[in-house]
Amino acid sequence: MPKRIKLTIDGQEIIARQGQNILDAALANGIYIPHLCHHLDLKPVGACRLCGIEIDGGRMTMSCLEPVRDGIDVVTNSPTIHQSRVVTMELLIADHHMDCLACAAANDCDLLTVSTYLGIQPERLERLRKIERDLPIDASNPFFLFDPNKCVLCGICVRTCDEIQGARAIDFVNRGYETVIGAFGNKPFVESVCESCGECVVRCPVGALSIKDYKIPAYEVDSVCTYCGVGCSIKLGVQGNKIVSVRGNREGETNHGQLCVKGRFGYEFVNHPDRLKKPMVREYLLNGKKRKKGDDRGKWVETDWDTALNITADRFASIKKESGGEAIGVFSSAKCSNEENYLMAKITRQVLGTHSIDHCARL
Amino acid sequence: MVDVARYFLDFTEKESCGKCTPCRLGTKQMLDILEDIVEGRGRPEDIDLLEELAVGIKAGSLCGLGQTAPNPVLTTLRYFRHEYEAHIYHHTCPAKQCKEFISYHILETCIGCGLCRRNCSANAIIGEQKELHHIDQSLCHKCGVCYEVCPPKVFSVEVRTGEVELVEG
Repeated sequence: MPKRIKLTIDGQEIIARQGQNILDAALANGIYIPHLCHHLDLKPVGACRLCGIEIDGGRMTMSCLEPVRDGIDVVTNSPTIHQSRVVTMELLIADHHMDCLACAAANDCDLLTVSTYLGIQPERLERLRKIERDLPIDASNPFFLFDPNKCVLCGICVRTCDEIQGARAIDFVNRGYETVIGAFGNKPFVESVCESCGECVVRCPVGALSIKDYKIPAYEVDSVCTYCGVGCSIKLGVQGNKIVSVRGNREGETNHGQLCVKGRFGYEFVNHPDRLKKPMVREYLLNGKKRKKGDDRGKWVETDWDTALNITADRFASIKKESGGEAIGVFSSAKCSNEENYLMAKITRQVLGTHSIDHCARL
Repeated sequence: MVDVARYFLDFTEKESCGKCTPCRLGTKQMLDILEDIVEGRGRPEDIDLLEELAVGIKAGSLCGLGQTAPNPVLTTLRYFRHEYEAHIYHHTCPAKQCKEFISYHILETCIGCGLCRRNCSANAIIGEQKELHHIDQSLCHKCGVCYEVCPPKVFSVEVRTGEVELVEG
């Protein structure tokens, strides 16, 4: 049981756990301290310089890097702290491609949150030199885009790829003002070891990393991802009758909110026009004829379940009679439920009479 | 002295590691403002702006580079504020350093030795041997070579600031 620590933040007594940093303790107790480079899932780095506090009247220090200690008196705002934050934010805004009306992050942008908290005044911003770079947007990945002109270089994406995903596909490239986020050799993302899991995209505090054609769902439905046996808990974002987005459910015991590329971006099959809605059978089978030699096997024809199942059962039975059960192989899928896969195994071994059953995960 | 501040900011902006926002963006912003002042694009609000930025950058930076980068600006503002004001309000450079605000002229004590004319990289000096030479202001790019080569006992090249440029006369 971690030791309980008692400290005061802005006159309010807070109970924290030993090992927590002051920023986490404050946020957990409803006290907002401005921050950009902080994320609950990641180790703190103190890069944005916005979360400054004064402990026991001392000099400004970053709350994300200060551990909680018994009896300390923390102040989250003062003229020095406010001046430092205002300058930092004004510099960030002067360097940021302000595109709020069209930006995917407009509903949930940390830059806007901090600016509103501080009360940024437009007439002060006009004094600064606009140093907007015109860097190319990386749209190489099929699922998300990276706009370096909106990037605040908080490093959350880099740390996510390193600490959470382990792919280490992106990092800081160049130095100083020329710093950009990029893959190895500053190549486009699609040419790197990026797995397109999207974990960096969901954590980006601004609109630098955003999902392509992002739609805000009208409501969400809790579900389980069908792609593999891990069974990640997901929240399907729905508009009307269609799935428009997927995000991880943090309550999920197996995935804790994380998803892979299939879970996060692979939902289009649900409403895909190519998806079968009725059983289909080759015309020659329906008419009881033999298959023609060569590649052309004839037309697909829609049929009903009874016909389809009867044809399949008859064909399996005749193959087993002619060549034995060993002539049949079965391929199942992670998209099936456990019960369906159990039945598949039973049918394969006991009815069809073969041990040759495998699963799509082998691919 | 404004150019001295600009020189140091040029250095620190390039050396900044880029991790923390105040130093990475602040040194660049201050450099841009100083370059504007030195090149004739200074605005009246720039002096107060530089001071505010400097204080904020000093307080917020992660390491000593960011914490001391604004110092040349702060100290030159404290002791040479009149130079900043001259650049911005009067378009002159009291230190006679900023090319945008200075001009080179040949005085009447010129003996016409031709050293300046022969060494001028812009071929901006006109004059006959043993006669008073003259600098064509439209060609001069203020490299200062004429000033360097004029013989010491004659010393006829003068740097002026705040002169309205006249065309050949």
